[in-house]
Amino acid sequence: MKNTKYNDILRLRLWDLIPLAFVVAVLAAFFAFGCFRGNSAGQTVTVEVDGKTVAELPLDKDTQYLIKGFGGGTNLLVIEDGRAYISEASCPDHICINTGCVTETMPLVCRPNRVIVYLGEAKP
Amino acid sequence: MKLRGISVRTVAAIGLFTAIALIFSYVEALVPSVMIPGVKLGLANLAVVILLYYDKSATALAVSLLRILISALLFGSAMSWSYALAGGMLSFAGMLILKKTRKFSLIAVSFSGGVLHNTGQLLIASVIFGYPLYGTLYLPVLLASGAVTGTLIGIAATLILPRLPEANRILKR
Repeated sequence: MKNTKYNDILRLRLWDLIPLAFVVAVLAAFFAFGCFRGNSAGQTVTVEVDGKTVAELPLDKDTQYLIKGFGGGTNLLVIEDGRAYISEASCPDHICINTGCVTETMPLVCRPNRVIVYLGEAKP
Repeated sequence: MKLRGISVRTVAAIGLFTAIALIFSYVEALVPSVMIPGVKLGLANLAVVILLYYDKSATALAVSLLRILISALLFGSAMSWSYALAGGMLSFAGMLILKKTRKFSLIAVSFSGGVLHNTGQLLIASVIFGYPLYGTLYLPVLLASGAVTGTLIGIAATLILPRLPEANRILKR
């Protein structure tokens, strides 16, 4: 025998969409951002062109750095709020821009300019 | 019969539901987390969610606190205790407020509880590690998993609650 006393609280209603919408909005905001603010203290971003390290930049200092890639191409590396991403590139495919922010597991790579941007100290 | 203002029936109910919650914790600890490390169904919360509707909120709070304390003693450490306490209390507070508005269904309340549970754990982890983790990839993963597990717990509670015997008969007089 089912107890009908609880029917009211068990019934789904329009109000239920509020918590759902809230969570979906937060998730959407994060994915729209494309970048997650990481632990930037003391971390460095290393820029490599054609296998040679050309720059090491601290992640906690906002700056812009124009990478002169192999064969005259350029990529503009932007560091702000502890995130590093490429905002402009001369290459046709813009894969480096679409990658979003550099993370430990996802370096920014530009094949045409032979540019690699990764999180961490320069590898010997 | 009253014991310092708490009826013996309430004491018995707290004991009963705490035992059920602990058995759920134990069963869950036996099953390894296969999908994502650290993501669990949170079956023990089922006892708390059901009790929130079945009896007074104070009884549910007592069960929530006791099961967190005892399961940390049995299966966890001081570290896991602080995570569980932060998650459990934030989740309980949120569920209680949503329930009191009388505007949300049980599934929505449980859904919010699951999400808040993981949010609380992330907040305390941020305090322990000393830098904000809520801006990292953990947040979307934990929000989504909390939403899914909270909904599943809510569905289970929806199925169980109407089938329980009348609370008046076993808990109150």
